[in-house]
Amino acid sequence: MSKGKLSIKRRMNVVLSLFMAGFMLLAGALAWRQFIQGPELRAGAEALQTRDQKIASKRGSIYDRNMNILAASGTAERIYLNPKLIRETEDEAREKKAAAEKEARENNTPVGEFPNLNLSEKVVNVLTTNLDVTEEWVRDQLAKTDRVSIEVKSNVEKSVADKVREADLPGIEFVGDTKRYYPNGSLAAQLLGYCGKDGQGLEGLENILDDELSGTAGRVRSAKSAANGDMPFQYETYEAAEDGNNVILTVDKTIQQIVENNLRTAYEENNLTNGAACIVMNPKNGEIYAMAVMPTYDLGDYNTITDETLLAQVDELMADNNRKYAEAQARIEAGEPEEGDKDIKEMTYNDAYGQMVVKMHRNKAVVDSYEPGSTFKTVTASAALEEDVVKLDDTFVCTGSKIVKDREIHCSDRKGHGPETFVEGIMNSCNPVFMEVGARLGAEKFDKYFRAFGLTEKTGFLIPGESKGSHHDLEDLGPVELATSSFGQTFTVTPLQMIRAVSAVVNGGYLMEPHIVKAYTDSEGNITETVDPVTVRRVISEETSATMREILEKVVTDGGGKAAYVKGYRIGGKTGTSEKYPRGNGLYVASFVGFAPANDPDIVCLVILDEPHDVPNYGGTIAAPVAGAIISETLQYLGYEPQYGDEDAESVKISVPGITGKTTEEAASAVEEKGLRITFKGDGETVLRQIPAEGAELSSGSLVIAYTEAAEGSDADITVPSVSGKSYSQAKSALEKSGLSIAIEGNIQPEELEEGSLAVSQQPEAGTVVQNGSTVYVTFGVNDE
Amino acid sequence: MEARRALNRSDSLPAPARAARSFRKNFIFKVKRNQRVDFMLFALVIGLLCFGLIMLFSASQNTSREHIYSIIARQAALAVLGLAGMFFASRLDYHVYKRHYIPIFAVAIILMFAVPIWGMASHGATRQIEIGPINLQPSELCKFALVIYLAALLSGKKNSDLTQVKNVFRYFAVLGCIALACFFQSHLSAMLLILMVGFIMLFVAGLPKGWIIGMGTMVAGVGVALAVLEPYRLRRLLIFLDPFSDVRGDGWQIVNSLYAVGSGGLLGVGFGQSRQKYGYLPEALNDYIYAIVCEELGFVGGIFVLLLFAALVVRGMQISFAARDNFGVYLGFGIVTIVALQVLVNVGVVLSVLPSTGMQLPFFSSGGTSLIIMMYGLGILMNISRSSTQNKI
Repeated sequence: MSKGKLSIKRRMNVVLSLFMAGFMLLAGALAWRQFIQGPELRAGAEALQTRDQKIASKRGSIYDRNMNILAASGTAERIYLNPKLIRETEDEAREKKAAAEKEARENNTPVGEFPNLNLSEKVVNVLTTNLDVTEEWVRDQLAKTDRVSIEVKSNVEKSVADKVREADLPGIEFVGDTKRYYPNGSLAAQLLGYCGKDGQGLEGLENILDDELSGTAGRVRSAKSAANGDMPFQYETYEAAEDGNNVILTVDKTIQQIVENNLRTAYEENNLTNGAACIVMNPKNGEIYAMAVMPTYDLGDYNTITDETLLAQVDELMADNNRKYAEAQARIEAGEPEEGDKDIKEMTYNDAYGQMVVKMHRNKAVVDSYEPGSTFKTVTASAALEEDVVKLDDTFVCTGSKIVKDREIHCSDRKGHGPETFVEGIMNSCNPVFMEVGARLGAEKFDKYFRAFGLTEKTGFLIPGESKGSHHDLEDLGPVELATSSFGQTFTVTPLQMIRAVSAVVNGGYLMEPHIVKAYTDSEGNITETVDPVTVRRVISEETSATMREILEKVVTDGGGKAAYVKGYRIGGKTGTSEKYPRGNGLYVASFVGFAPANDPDIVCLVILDEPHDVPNYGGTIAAPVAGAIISETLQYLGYEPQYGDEDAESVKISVPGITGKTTEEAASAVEEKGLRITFKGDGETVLRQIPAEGAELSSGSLVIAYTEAAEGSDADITVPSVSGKSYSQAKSALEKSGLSIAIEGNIQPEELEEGSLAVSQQPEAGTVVQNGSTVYVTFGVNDE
Repeated sequence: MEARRALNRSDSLPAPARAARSFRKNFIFKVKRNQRVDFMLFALVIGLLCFGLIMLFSASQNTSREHIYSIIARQAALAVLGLAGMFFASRLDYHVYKRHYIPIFAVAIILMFAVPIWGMASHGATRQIEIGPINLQPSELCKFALVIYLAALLSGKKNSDLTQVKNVFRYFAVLGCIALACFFQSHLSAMLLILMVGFIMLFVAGLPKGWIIGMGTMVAGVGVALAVLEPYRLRRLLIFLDPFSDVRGDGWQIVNSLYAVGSGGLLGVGFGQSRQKYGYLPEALNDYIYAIVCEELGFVGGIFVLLLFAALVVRGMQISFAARDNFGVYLGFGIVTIVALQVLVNVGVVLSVLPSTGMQLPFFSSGGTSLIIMMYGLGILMNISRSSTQNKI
């Protein structure tokens, strides 16, 4: 017995030890779960147990410099679906109906209505009618009956949301949201960028200023039970949303419009296949007034291509890729694949479309680099003058090409410009002159100025993905590279780098940091930060800069940039044309950089037309007029009156076109095209007579009278009336009444007359018999008495 | 003494009084070493019972405010019945079970088979009998019936020699019979528990090693076969290894159990402050109540519960060993084994070191008559402690 018991005890102790080991193991497991895995499990539990509701913060607005709204956020709503609740509501209704039917059978009471029986159908109906969702999608979501919150649509406008709300269906829930509006459609699209559906900035300034604009979303975190009900106790945390700050840009909406109008016309007229870009900047402080890219897109519908050129390119891209794909496949099947054949994938229309959408969103003015061509000669010339390696009247001889080392490099004019001074060389945009000047500078100094003008560094502009071009490093800058670089080829820069360098050339030699943001304000509109101009470094002296301004003005008045000339404004500038790689493919970039007023520039404008077709490919012929128009319109808008210097005097006189025999419409357009006004006398449709006669010279804005009815004695000669002692307007009306025109002696504009000026003499004198429509020249003076 | 002497003069009494005297003599006052119940055992049981009730009260505060007492009131009623049963059992000489082990075991076996047959015939529950508000799981009863049965036979002279193959087969036949009944009930956890209790008792009684190894292998084989034949069991079996692979599906229960445990940290989120009980943790009042304990009272609370149970097991073992006869030793040991296995499996499942099975935590889990039966079983243990040789404990 006792032996048996001992044996039992031994075995019991084994069992007890195993049990105790089990308890120890569990204690260890408990510690592991609570301490080692604790934080992770706790986080998981919290995510499960709490309901996070986002309170959308209002995104800040983007204004132009005059506080015109470029982008703003409005109140919108976000609509959610609660499939679980819908299912439960339906089940409940079904049960109630069953109960009511039972009761009806027993007590003969009416069964009643159960509107929630077909709740799902109603939900499908309401959502598909009001929101852009398919029935199939809604049904799929409704089938997920374990889910309590599925987003149906964000950014729903309140009016639309209200329609959904009117249906008053359980299981459709609303949360406040904001929607981004771009009141100007496509204006400055690539610059501004856009926001995604969750309100985060995806492109352009919306993207790069996202932190500033977005504010902080608030949230309510509250406890919830598994059934999504509230807890008997609350541990709710509430973080208020902080609205985003506003941003005031340096951009001027009107200038941006001027730029886009002109650039769009140029884009269409020149059949550009690779787009166009233009920047207008204040050279003195680096403020960007306008930055435009063509083709553009509607910011409210940013994934849709409307431009026909781009749409054609989508087809081309797909066809091209798929042709290569077919060839590669053929080679693979034939058993002789080439390297990379396997990497060629078939492309769908959507793939190609997507690629073109990306291209369309690119801010070409900052992201794409190009060969600046002759516009770069401004930089070479400035460096050479600053280093004193060339004098303005140094003479060169252009034979149409120049041998550098073993290479013959041609001038744009292969016949050669013959003997010319340095200034003439710039005006002619003569490549051999610049090869020579570049050689005189030497690689080291060339490189020094190249860097000083900021052409090797990013400008620090607020844009995602700014690039900085590529260039020869000093050690690679041999004589040939130096020669080609001197006239702006074999390296690339971005348009923004280029316009900044030219700004430094003309603003007295200061390299500025281009900036787009003028100020930030808080959500209430109080300015919190203003952005001051930043001078990066001084590059050339004021003297050199002044010389450059003079030379570049000459380029416009008498040189290759004539097409940019606009009467009444002093514009300087330089054209540029560069053939794209591979050379000989006939694709060019035509550009023009201009500035005004030439003596003290307030604006610099760079126009880039990429791959023009069907027209002469020169910057001087196609880019210069666009820049000229942009500059003059901008100056007018900024309140610069046209100034007519002595040189302008002749050309200010407008020669009256011949309009007799033309229809009233033709006549009107012919006259107005010249910058004159026209008035019709009579009810006929054909102009029979005109005053002044064809060829008469008038100042801009003068009146041309067109007679459409044969008046009696109309051909008779007219006796000139006396205008002595009359003011300009009195004299003008007196003469016009007689069928004569007025002009002020001494090429003086009416508005230039001193106040109180009266007519003192006239030519022809009063009483002289002259032909109908003649001009009477009147001298005005101020009566001292 | 006068009264007792008077009672002993049985001949002079009428028949009913004689019967009553005989009952008292045979069942109640036949304690030879009339000691007090082991205080430590008593204290641990009462401590666990109170702790269990308090935690169940807390865990049941997860629905609407109106019913905050409905669950705890029911459990408290069961606890009162359990205390009464425990008191009775502690006063009733445990040898009565040895004398009547055949009818006790027969009733248990009949119920074990009757329930699934009746349930299947009536498309009702196949695991429990519902009598008004009380539902009885025969498997609960069967555990203790088996312990009594084995203790009775193993302490006897006829069948206690386990080196004889005939005897071993007899025991295995009984165990297999119960396992079959559990299989009909689709009650895997009960089957495993009963088989484990049976094998452990046979092991202690001196089952030769060869049998242990052979049977262990066979049971494992049967388990695997079951899992393969019923793939949902296999999935349930494996999901505990990586419950996060299917959080919304099979892993849901384990993940939420771990979330609750992990949320507790050292001191817990506070009594009554569990969040997982709000519908996240299935069976929070029953099989997974230990997770709520860990969440609300943290590591400290969780370890405290484990310590109480471990102390109960150790004390129970000491009492069993000190029992004055082998029947007492086996009976006490069997009861303690049931408690130990239930705690280890339940907590192991909650902490996801064991695959999920439906094992209740004694004193804590709500429901059924298991509390009454468990307390009655511990009452038997107390009775053993009354007559055990105290100096050996």
